[in-house]
Amino acid sequence: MIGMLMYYLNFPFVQRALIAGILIAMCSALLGVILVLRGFSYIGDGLSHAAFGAMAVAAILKLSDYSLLVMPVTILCALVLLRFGSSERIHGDATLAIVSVSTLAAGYLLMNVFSVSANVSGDVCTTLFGSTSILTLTRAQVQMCLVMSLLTVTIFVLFYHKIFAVTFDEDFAAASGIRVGAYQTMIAVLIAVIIVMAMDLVGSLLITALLVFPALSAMQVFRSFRGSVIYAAVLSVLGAAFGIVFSILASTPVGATIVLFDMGVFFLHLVVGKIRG
Amino acid sequence: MTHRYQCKFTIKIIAVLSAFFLLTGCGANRAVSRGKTGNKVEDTVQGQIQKEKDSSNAADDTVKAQDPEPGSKSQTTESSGSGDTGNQSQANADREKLDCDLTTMGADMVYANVFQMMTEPERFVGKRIRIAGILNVVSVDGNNYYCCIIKDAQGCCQNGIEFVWGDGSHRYPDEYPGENTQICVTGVFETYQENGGQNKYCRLKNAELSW
Repeated sequence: MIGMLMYYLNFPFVQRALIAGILIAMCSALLGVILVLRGFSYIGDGLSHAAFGAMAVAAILKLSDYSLLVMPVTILCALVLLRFGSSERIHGDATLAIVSVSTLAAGYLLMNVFSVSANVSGDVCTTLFGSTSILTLTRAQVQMCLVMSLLTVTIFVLFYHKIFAVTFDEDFAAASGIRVGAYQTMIAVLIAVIIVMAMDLVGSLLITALLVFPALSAMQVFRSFRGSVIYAAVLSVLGAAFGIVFSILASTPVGATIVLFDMGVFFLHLVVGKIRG
Repeated sequence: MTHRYQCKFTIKIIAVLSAFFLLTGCGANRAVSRGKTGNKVEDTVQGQIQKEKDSSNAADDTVKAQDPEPGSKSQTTESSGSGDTGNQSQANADREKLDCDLTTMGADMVYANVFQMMTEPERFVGKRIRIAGILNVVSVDGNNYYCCIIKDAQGCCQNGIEFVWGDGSHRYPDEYPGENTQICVTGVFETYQENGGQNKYCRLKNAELSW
């Protein structure tokens, strides 16, 4: 088993998968804590579905790089949902539901009607569930992932206190002179970027797990925001690394393996948290 | 009272988790048996490959042209004339050398490797590759193209490599196995273009086919 693993680790695409997977998992955990605390746990689902719809359009238009369309569309949806999502007529969760299902349906319809691939079902399946997509990343994609991850971590570290204030008490933050709108916009953009990258790791349908499980696990044992964020990042990185390694050894879908591992860790922490009281 | 309630709640949680893990343990047996089934396929393929190696080693010892054994359908592709022992030895040496053996890898790794071959073919040109999958024949403009198709772990995504059995003189369907037959192909990776077209295709040339 160890020998086989060492043999697999010699392949460049496995190394790229591990690097990208760990970076994506770490950034997902950082932003996942914010989303969970603000009650936007399901936003990942909505944005990933919007990204799927954009990806379908990009495929039909035969763009050489899908992210040229997927990233801006996802960012736009994030801004709509997180900044301007609520109105008197349509509440925030209803807006999320509308965006989520309509973009998913539109994307699937477009991919079937204007099919540009010989295996539409396979393309849809791998995009939705991330079975092997992390193993098919190019060097350019990993570099972009690295840049985005560094940007996310840097912003999170530099603006940690302001993000903390905006997350827990917007009114207090506004009263303190913090430009709440600008920071909310920044968080929305970062979430959109991370979700687009995370689609390669766990697929569109399972992104919520990557955002939510590590954060919830950390919150069972840590009471402080800083502790929860750091521990969530550690758990997420371990989950991604273990999931990728296990899946290539056991030939299981990568995305589902990572999510199930995170789920197991969550239940373990739930028990520990209950015992500690 | 509160402490007793917490203890009871904790015991209930542990009981539920234990039941969950026990159930997944039962499921894991089925998963293992499915895995064993997959390994049975691999074992069969490996067994046939070993048979082919043994028969080719026997030919090396006697320096005779290979005769197909009863029940064995493997064919060699080295078309060196009989009596040309130098070329035969070189061909046998080439046959043994394998740069990438996909038959020893899991489904995810095989799929990812084939994907790399399609997206970065220049890294694999000239390399001797072995792959196991199912036979798929595509006819285009009266020409038959033979492919070895593999699936990823979920079975929904497929990938494959075209191959040319030997010097391409084998007749279809008389000498080929039926479509969707489990096959093992060993050949040298190359890229080519057709009729001066711009598209580049990948395939395994001088391939050995066994099933």
